Amino acid sequence: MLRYLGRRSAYMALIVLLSSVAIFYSLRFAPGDPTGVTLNPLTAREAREAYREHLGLNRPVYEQYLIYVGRLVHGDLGTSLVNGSSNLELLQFYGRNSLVLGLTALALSYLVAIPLGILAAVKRNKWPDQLAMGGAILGMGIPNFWLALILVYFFSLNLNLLPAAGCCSPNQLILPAIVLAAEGTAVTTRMVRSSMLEQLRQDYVRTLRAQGLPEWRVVGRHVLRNALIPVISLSGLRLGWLIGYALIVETIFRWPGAGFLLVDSVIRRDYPVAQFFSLVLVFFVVMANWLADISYGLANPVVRRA
Amino acid sequence: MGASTIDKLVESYVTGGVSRRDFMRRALALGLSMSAIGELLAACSNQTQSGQSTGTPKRGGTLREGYDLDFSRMDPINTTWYDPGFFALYDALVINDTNGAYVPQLAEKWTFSADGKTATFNIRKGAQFHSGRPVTAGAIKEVFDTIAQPNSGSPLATLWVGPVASTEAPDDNTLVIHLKHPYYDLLNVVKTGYWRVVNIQTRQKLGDQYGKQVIDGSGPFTFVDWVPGDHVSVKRWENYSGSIVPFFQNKGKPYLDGIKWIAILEASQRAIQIENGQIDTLRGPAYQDVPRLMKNSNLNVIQLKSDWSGYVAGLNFTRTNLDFHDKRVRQAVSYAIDRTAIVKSLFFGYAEPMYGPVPTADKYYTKQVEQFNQFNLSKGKQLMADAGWKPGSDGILTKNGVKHQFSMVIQAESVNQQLSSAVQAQLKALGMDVKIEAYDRGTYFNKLFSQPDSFLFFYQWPVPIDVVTLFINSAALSPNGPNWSMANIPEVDQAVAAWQTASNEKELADGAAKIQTVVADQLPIIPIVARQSFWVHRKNVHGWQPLKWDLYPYYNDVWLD
Repeated sequence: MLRYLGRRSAYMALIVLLSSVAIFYSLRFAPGDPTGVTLNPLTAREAREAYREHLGLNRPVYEQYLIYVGRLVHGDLGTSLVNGSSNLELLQFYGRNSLVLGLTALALSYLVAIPLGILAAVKRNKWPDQLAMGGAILGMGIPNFWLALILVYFFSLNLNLLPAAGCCSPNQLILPAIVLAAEGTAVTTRMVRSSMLEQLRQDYVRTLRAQGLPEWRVVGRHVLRNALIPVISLSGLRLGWLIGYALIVETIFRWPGAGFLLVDSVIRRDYPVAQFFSLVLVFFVVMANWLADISYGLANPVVRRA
Repeated sequence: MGASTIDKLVESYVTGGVSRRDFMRRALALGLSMSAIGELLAACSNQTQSGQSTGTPKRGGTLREGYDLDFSRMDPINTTWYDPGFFALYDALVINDTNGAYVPQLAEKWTFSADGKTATFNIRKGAQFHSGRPVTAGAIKEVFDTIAQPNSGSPLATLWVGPVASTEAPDDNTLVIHLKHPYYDLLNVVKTGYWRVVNIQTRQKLGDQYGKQVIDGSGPFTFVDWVPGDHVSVKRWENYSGSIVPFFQNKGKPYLDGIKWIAILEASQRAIQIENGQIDTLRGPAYQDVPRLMKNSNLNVIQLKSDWSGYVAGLNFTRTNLDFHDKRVRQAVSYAIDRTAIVKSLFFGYAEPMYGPVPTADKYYTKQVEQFNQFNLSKGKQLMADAGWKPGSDGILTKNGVKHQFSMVIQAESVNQQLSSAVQAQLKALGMDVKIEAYDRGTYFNKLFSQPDSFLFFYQWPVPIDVVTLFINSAALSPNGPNWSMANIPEVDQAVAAWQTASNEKELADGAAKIQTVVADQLPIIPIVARQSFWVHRKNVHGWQPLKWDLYPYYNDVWLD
């Protein structure tokens, strides 16, 4: 098991390392640089050149990368060129907001999807099932930016019930959390339904029913427990989804999370922040996969030997 | 009685320059009947602001102001753009009042010598920076001397370095600026955000971190925080020594506990947020939302004729294969642009065609420019034919085997994209094949300095002529300066020199008129449209007064009901 753990960890470390190179080089090779954003367009040429020199942008890119890695190794995570905050400070603020939004969306997604999936399975081919599955198809099919606009139109503009954007009160959280949760809810509902149906066909269910157990107990205690195993094991992968969608949702709702900051820092060519937060997001996705790999390995010795 | 006189009176009323009583008195003097005055006042009712606030000011509360841009570093000397916070955190030597007259802020009074080569400012006593250092003539001299340094990063330093020989502070209350030649434009320069007075000692101590987490100005509010892309907030400075600005009703500490400016970059969101009370005031709602906002009984919409800005295009003079150095070709391009149609279709009528380089609301505007650049496609085609360009089988103009195809660099932003598409379609009718290249801000400005075929640019500056001189002057050729067209026209340079050496207001106005007519004729840049400016506030906000003569309101008088 230790060898397996070591192999998976080394593999993940390699991915993070390669990602850091790819992120660094793609930012440097993208057109433009921080002078275009942090200096006024009318600033004199001498001042622009001096600023480039100050940032080390005139050095070869590999040299800039080595300096960057050297600083990282010494604990210098970088400082924003835009507002001078350290990346650690930014992570505390924006990361916390992302965590709040992400966890709310995740919780919302499961709180809605699991009961809905159970209902659809138990009432298979009846109207609750058709309604739930119709909703799930809509949830998967509607682009989240469009859903965001529709919700803002109804709940903010017409009904004046919820704020259209901003942070960080509970009522400002509702719309972005719904939009972020929408697709995950739809997918999870379908997954719970199919998993439930599979379990309901098992022999042990027939046996339990034959023993005279009430139906709610058969479903709620025995079937559901087994049906949720694939749902839970895939929840790690949902993190990658959430991070991807958060970039869009946080930007639309001006929710200052890590995704919002990443988009903003790329637009502003705030290299230290864009590099750091890209790497943080990569790290989270890699860690989620690592945990999933490890748990599979623990559960199944065949995977460990592969 | 000219319609323009009435227009000016209405605008003064809308912008708070005259009270309701003064408005009626002057309107009667102009010969308007009471019923006509009544109708005018009714029409203005949704546009007037609460500058003339009613009731007793209340202390407390935080003003939440929606802002249509993201925030820049709050260092006046080296910043991308000066945002509204500058007007709360910093003071200037002088500022404009609601009628455009210069009034004291840090300078109690000022004089120019008879030969126009020495300007003397008497600095008020008692003002201090947030850090406690007194604001003396010496402290202001440090600011101006820093701007003059080659690497200062000050965006319009050339407006200072060219004419200013030296500065002197013989005592704490006297600042003397020695000029190389008469330079009456000096006041227009020092009033702007980039010349706001910062404590240079603090700035030097913090280096390039200044203006990001620490701000040391002398304005009535102190800095709290800046979350990029989201907000900037400030709080009332309890040690504020008070203001001497004559048109501020409140000479003491501000009424507000604080101000929070919220960046709302998505245009459609701005109106929604002020409608549902998430923000109290707003700059720049989307034009399509303006009629809806005007009907909202909880809101006041203030409409200014322009926001000292303009959309202009530039054709690179070094593209001799496309004949952009030939005045006829530039004029042909200008004749092919139907500015009126653009105003109607893209700006919902909330803009005006520009025939010269500055908007009509500018105090130096001359109507002489209107004889140029009126839409006339057939004249444009004739000029191209005169220059030797003939339509090919595909309709694209051709000369010596070269097709008239070129790229236009624009900033990837919705108005720029729509405007460039309109220009592209209109030039297609002339026989030019334009390829639009849209870049995000970081890339766009670098592209401008890499000598593109052509570009579209949006400028905004409280004294438009000042910034226009930089786009057209051969002394500012790219990449050393922002003359991205690479225009080198002696007549233009002479007109700019006349403006820059004006020794009194009349010479300044004459110089401005000359620049406008020369630019309208020679087209080193091609003016297109100037947009109107909209400000909105909820009716519980009092004393909030967008200024016609500068980019943002001051917050000394603002209070919340």
